[in-house]
Amino acid sequence: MSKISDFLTELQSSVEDFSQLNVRTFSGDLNTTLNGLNNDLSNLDDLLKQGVTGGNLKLEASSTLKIDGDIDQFLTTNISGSMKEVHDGAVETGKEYRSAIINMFSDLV
Amino acid sequence: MSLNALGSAIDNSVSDGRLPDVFSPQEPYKLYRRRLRWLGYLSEEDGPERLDSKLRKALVSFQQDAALKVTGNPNKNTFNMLDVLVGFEPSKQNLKLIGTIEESNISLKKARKLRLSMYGLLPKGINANPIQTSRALSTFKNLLISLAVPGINKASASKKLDIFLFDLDAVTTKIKGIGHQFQIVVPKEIKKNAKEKFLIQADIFLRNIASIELWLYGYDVKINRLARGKTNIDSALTSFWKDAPGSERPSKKYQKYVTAKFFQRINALQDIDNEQERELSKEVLERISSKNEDEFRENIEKEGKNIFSRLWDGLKRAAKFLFDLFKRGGQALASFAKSAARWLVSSARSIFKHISIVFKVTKIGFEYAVRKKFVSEPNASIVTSNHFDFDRNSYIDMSGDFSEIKKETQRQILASKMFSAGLKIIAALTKLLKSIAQIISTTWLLLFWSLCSLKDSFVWLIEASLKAKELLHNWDSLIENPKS
Repeated sequence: MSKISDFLTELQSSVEDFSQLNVRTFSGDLNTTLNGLNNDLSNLDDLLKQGVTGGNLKLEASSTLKIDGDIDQFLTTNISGSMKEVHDGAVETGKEYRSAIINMFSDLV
Repeated sequence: MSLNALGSAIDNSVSDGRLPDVFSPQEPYKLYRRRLRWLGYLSEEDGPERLDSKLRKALVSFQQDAALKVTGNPNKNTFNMLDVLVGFEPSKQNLKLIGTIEESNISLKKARKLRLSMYGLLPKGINANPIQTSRALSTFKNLLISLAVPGINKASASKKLDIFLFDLDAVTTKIKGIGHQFQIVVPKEIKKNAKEKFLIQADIFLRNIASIELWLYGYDVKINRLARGKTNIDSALTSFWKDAPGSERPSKKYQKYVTAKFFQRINALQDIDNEQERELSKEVLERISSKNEDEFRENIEKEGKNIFSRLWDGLKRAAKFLFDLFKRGGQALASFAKSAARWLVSSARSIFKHISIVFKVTKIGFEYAVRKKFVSEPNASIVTSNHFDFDRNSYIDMSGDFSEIKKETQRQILASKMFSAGLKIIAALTKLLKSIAQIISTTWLLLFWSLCSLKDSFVWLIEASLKAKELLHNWDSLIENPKS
């Protein structure tokens, strides 16, 4: 498949995913997980996935914000205040980006 | 010289502003308003291009004061009286009127004050009291004596002074000098301690007369400042000499001063004008006398009644109206475009500065939005993975520095806000440009549509003209063959 068709496939699946925003926060031994990175970010996702499946990183919090306003939130037991704060920040960032794009299109149409 | 030449001479005088444009319906009202305001019968010069209640009231007051038949309408007698009382160079015929006006005439008293103030001798103008007016008149007499005006002496009465007061040319032709210096002899009656004051007054007097002459020749002079002696005529004088032939021009040093040479040049121009006027009058009189008077009148009347001439006259007026309308429209558009361009030039810098800030803000926010991964350093405390649909995964090192983690989180929040603000402004700018484009396209469409409508009007006009032509043809046939 060409790069353009890759991009179009990704765009199509992304547009479908715009209806919901997923934000997840993991914690653990990040340095061990990223040991094989060697400044090459291409395999970062794989390393992070391996870190999650290998038990080096554990899910602390997960939030799913739907376009109709529904929110599904998962928080691990005994989550620290700082961790919660970082997660909330990430949720706010994601919300802001999504609403900026939606507002721009609604303004222009 | 033919009547055509007379017409051309009148056209030139109208375009120079020396004669009122009677073809333009508003001109007589404009002239009436200006003259009545100068005499204090109107508070302002501006007004509608018709006889409104204010102008009628002013005319009634003036006609009462001038001992004319009170009608409240502009008429020949009123025009002539205003011409002699306010006009700087009244016609020779009207000048004779001065001798017939009684001393008690209120409008004459007002006109004297106006003249004296224009000559810089009565700063309070028409509001001056009788004592101030009498002193100013006495100064005027002394000035005429100092210019060695024949027939004027210490005993001369006001009536005799009126000839010079109301005819600028009568004064201008008496101003003599050698080179640039004026020939002024201070009268013996002026005491030694008042001599300097008198010379200053003479200087203002000559300067004001020069200002009026320049104004009459169409140069830019603020005539309403004459009474206070504050009119700046430097540039008008420079332009005057620029228009003069090189052989007549004084050295640059003297071009900004009112000198005897200036009045010599004015008198020479005046002689040419008078000569032309005499020539024209002679030719017109000859032409009239060469024809039988009744026949001449009959021809004129016949010409006036001719349908075609009326139609032609109407068309000329309509064309003039349309031309004026387009001219005004064009001027308004040009003025608008000039202001808009000036505004754009003056604001462009700040506008572009603001726009550049907007793009900078959006760029920073956009970079954070599209960057897929955030790894601040090899031993990063936080790694954030972004997705195309803004899903986010944050990976935090438990042994990492939490203050650094918080800082990065705050940076990302701020970046998202910058992106949001930037996009909002870009969307608004896009909408604005869209609206401008719509306005421009709509304007063109409207213009096109208007031109199409105009075409219909022209078609109608041509048809109507053809009909009129047919009627005229029938009319002529009927006159030529009344029995047919």
